[in-house]
Amino acid sequence: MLNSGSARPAAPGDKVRRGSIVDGFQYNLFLRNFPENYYPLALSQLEPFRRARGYRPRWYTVPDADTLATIPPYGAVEEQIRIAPGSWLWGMSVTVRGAAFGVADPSGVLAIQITDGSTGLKLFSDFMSAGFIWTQGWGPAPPYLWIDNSPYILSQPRPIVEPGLVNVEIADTLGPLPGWGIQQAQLVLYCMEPAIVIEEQLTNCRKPALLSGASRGIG
Amino acid sequence: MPDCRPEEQYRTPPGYYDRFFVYAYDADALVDGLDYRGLPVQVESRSDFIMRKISGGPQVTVPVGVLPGPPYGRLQFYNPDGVQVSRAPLYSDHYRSLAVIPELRYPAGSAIVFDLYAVFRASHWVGDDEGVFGVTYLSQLAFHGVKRAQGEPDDKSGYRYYEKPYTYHYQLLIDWRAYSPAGLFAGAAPPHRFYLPIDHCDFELHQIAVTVTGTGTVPAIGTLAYMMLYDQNSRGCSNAPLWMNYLETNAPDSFGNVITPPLLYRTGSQIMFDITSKCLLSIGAPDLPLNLDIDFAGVRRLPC
Repeated sequence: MLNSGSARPAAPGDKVRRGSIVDGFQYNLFLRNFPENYYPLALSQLEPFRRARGYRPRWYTVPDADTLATIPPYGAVEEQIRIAPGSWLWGMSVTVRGAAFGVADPSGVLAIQITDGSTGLKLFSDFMSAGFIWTQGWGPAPPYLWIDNSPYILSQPRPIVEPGLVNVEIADTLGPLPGWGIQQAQLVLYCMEPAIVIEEQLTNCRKPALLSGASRGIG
Repeated sequence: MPDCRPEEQYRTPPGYYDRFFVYAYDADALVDGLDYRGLPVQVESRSDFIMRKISGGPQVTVPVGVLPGPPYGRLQFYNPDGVQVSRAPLYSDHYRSLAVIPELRYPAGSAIVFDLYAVFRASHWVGDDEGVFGVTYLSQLAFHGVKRAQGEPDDKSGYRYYEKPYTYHYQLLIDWRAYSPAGLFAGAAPPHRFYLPIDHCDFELHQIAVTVTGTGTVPAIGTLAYMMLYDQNSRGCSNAPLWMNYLETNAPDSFGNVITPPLLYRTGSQIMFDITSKCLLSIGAPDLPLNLDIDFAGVRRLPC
């Protein structure tokens, strides 16, 4: 545990902040020295990203719409998303419901595969159960939900290179479960993208206001 | 890789200091079922805010699957430049305890802006002893991070020391309800203030653990109390009283809340905190009295 039993004398004016934040997720200083646990190790991989200059958080949803994706029985939803080249993918999470009932445990039902469109490399060797990145776990009492292991953190952040295309597949492997109905889901890919992309977006948004300037050769 | 070395420990920029702070948004005044766009949380005008975590999505909207059908709650956040962080609103389940990587710096005087779709406030309903149904809302979004301002951090002790773990224990009895004694419709009861004197030597507060004891019951919705924590200079650590689940290190859904950077309380100062009750006095399932064991855990700086 951090600082436990620490006997290092500190001089007045010592500017080293030994209690500074180690991770951005849990703020839990006490996780740092648990080398056998996956989560703090994965978090430590993200430490340089948290204060990275010139980057902004950017979260990509599948589907790219204000709805849940309906996964056809024994079928799959495929979507290609465009992520700004130079971005880093560091985590993901999925929320799932059964159309007929409500909360649906996707373990063993839904499976996810993500493929880097530029290199053809897959993120997982085979379709991965959505249960691993599910935002909902069963709680012991109402409201029956609590966080399980979300967001799922990659063991090492993955760079997104030109042209920044990523293929996402969400597949239904068991068909509609009795009582649950067809599965619906929203997958989120957590990235950080170069801030320059946002600057370009802002510039594009401002173009109408600059039209008069463009006519004078400014734009 | 980004412009920093992986082994490098997080440092506040030279000439600045960080102070633990949480901005909260109370959704009590919103109307269930409606969509709200451009909701702001004003950042204080004297210091920037570095946002590192968002929590409480399911407190202000319906998580996916809880009710038989949609609409389920969604949230959309904007970065300090006014650009949407996600390309479509995220369902509120994703916001139970979501890290913001990299951290976002909101300049002093700016605002944290977000959209809420399909508001549904988390609430605690019980039958009241006055024969009416009472309700208290625990609908709050929290933005965890630090305030960053120019100057020197006030975290130095005036003597050489070594650190040893130490916990200040406080037994809190909440025996007043959310509404004023005059009745349900007479407004909320005022918060009660508590003090915990720091003796012997300086104390660094690292985390707060809360355990429910005694006869009070805690519904699954969470601890029925809000806390406003103050530092040694009586400056608040949040812009409003916070639901205790956002401060507790052992709260579900939180991944462990820890006071970072730690708060220093010098000898002779006190840990001051306000408690706002969210309990109702009911006949069937009494909320009151609610006994809480609060552990203020950290390290003492023992002179050497």
